[in-house]
Amino acid sequence: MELADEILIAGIKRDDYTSYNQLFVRYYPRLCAFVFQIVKNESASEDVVQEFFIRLWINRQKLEVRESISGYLYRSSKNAALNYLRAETARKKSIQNIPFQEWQSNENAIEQIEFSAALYECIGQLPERSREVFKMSRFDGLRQQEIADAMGTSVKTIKNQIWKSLQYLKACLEVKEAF
Amino acid sequence: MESKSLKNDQEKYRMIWTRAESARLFGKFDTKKAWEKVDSKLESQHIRVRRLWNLGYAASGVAATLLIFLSLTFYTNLFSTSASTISMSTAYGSRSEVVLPDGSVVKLNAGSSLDYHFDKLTNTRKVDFKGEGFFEVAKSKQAFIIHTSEGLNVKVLGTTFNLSAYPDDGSVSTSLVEGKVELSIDGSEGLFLNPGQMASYDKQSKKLEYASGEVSHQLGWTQDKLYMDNMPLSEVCTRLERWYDVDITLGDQILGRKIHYTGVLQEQSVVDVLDALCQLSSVKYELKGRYITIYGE
Repeated sequence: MELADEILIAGIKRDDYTSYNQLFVRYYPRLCAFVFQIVKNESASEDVVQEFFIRLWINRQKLEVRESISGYLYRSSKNAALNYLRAETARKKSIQNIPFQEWQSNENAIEQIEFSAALYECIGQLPERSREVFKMSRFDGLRQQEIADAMGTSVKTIKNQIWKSLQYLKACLEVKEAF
Repeated sequence: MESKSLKNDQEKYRMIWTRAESARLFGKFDTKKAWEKVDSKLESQHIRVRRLWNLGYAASGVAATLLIFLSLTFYTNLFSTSASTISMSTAYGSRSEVVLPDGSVVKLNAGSSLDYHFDKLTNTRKVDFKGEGFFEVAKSKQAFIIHTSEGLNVKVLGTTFNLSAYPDDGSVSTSLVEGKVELSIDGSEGLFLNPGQMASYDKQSKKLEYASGEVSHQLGWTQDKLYMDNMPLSEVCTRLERWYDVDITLGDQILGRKIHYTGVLQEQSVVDVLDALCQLSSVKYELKGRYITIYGE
């Protein structure tokens, strides 16, 4: 059963490590994807988010969340990402004199991440073959003819499969109230 | 804010189509691996704090038990923390005492090793163990479970006991001083020990049974004593090899099973022990460095 974010935070404040683990599993990929938009580097994004989570546990007693939990997590990791960027730019500046560019915050960034996260989960629920075809088309940018060749089938079948996947994804996202 | 409910199907499909590529990013972040990293970092921080405390404890001279071990040469691998495990081992010829992060104290006899780790998700204290140890397990709601390489599991319910599980011995024995322990072999029914009781697990027959004997004698090593209850010479030799890191050969193999000893030995050096054995029975010995040969007279 999925516990609400608020219950997990309350658990963390009571030193409950399982709650901490659940919150981590729930938010880690989205926060990474979000931070990635700012720092533009996958492994740096992971480091920033991991360090954020470590601090969250260490400072759990002092944790005060006045807004929504997800809002808090996104805002805090954004700050962590900006701090990282500043430190990184300062480091590079001394060598190359690159001006620091403030990250332009995008109002819809969080909403887009949440949507992509839900979409990724739904893609994971597709039947294996449909998922492969969908990934080839959307992730790898292959043309339908190329996919048909790779899967040893006709373009018509591929078209059909992608259309079915889209219908499934739409239904799945509606259930998740992602739209 | 985009108003969620106003989208028609067409817009929804377009959204899926155009955003799918950004969803790809999620596949690149391995949550499980990341969790392991975070978990072990938190764990090592936890241990670092405790370890400093332990050092302070030892330095203040409260750890008088250490004195007991001074007569033996001290060689101990200090704590090494790999990931979330805390490890400790003693070589032959040395003994040591370790205070685990949960407050439990383990005296390690020569040639023993211990890996401790706290599984926070199942809330269990887990120990992989080889050799001989005297455990004083701190009382806690969290289960304390010891696994020996022979597959014997000792589930501890806040207690004091001795566990002898040397890989080259024929059996694993457990002697309970205080509290309660549950012994089990993977998949079999448990055996409970009460204070004063002993159990032995025979590696060949794979049988776990209550054993007879005096519990206090099993703890002799913690006071540098070797209690022998009709103990064959061969076993005495095995003990001495571990304790003093020497290599003992019997001039005649039959000797090892023929001669039995009863009594207590508490000697400073291996030479003193050998002299004592010579007085107790008709044997003599030859010593070359750490190599000892025992002959019948």
